[in-house]
Amino acid sequence: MTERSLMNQLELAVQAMLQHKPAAIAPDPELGALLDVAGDLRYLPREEFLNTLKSDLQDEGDAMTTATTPVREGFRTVTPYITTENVMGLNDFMKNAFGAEETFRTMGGAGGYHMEMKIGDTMLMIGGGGSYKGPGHPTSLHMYVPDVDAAFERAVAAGATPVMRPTDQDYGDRDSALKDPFGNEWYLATHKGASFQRPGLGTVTPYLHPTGAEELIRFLQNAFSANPYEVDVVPEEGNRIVHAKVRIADSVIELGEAHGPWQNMPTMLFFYVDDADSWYERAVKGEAIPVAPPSDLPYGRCGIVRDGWGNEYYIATPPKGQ
Amino acid sequence: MAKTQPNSVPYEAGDEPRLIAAAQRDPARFAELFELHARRVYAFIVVRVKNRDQAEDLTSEVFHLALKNLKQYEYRGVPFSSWLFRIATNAIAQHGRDAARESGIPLEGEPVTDADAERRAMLFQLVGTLPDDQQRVVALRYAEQKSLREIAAEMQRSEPAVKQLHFRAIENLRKQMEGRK
Repeated sequence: MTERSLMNQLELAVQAMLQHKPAAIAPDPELGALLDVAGDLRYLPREEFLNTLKSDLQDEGDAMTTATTPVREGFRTVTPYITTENVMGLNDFMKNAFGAEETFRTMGGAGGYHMEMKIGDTMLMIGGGGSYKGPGHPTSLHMYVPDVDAAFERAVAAGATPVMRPTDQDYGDRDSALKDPFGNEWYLATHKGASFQRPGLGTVTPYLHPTGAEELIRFLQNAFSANPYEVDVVPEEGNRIVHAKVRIADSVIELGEAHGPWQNMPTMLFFYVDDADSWYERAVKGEAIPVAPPSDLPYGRCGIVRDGWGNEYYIATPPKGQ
Repeated sequence: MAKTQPNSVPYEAGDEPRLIAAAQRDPARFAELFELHARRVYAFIVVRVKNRDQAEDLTSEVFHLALKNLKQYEYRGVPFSSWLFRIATNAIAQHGRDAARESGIPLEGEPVTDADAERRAMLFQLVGTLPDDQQRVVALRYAEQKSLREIAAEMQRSEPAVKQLHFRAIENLRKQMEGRK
């Protein structure tokens, strides 16, 4: 059978099949094989059906996540925890530079202060001072503000050192960088969109600069079931990851490969989860380095793990009623 | 110049337990499991009920039930699809009982093998690998049940051109299916 004839015969047979009518076609093995495929395609799912169902499941899943995430009021799953010897100075700086509000203060078991600060919609923990002699953990933080130029000047007036003055970027943000007197890096930005905050991000997001960003993403996937998205790479440089977002439950961590002045800065992250024991166990199975197994502490049940870049993860379940 | 890759650290074979754990912690992640299994579950159902509307309703029911019960699911090395197929089997059976009760006639479906469903699922997946214009013709013809004339009008192509695209698509799919036997 010529190709033209085969095509015409197939057309007649498919028309008949779709209209549930018998077709008068010549028996031919080649045509038969094509008709088998067409017959199997008869109930091909509609993309619109699959997309709508996926979207419904996404909405339902989002609602379940919101309803079941067992974090303390005002907290998300992941909270950056900055420790420094001069925690009072950091507290003042955050208030003066960024209008942070102190919502809680106590003395921790190690003799240092534990304070909780709110900036915009984000909670941050800071600790140290007193008789605490543990290591400081400065952190890089990406913060959205309504007016980056004004916020930058205010932070400099409060004692921060400029690293990069506000600059328009091709990804739609006007951003800048500062270092505070306690070693923390603050990337202040204003998103040029409907809101000054980029959709999907809170006011403040922790930002990591590991050497081996792809490996750190893998680690976060294995240890915490993290979901990487918006991964920006430079193909000419061996797919170097310049920026990526990683979602863990309702929270986001940003990261980019260490380069220039932006080098790895071991950070502390505090996780509020539904079951500290199972999260700890899975993290260790996912190659996290155990530091302290979960135990009952005044602020809940908490275990600690570390990654290969020196970042520490406190995995805690708050006491009931908090 | 930086280039955005939606997922430059792609899922690999063996990632299923991790995806399941992720969805159990964060149900919003269930959509990723849906993406992996939707066509297989739909194929499993449609070869049995042989009706598009019923297959869509049952597929929807299966995934909503799976999401609702995901916390109770325990991974023991058996593919996640086996659990979905078990839910689907129950849903189909219930659907059959409901239909029989309404009509008063017991339903006796034709025997179906898992191979039928797997072949269909594979074919549905392969449609996504066709060139864009062939993919569109196949979707309009089979999923949307449109005539050659309607497709030609929608794609602003001549009817012979659409007929040719359809023929090439079916040929492509046949070759790909042959290669996977």
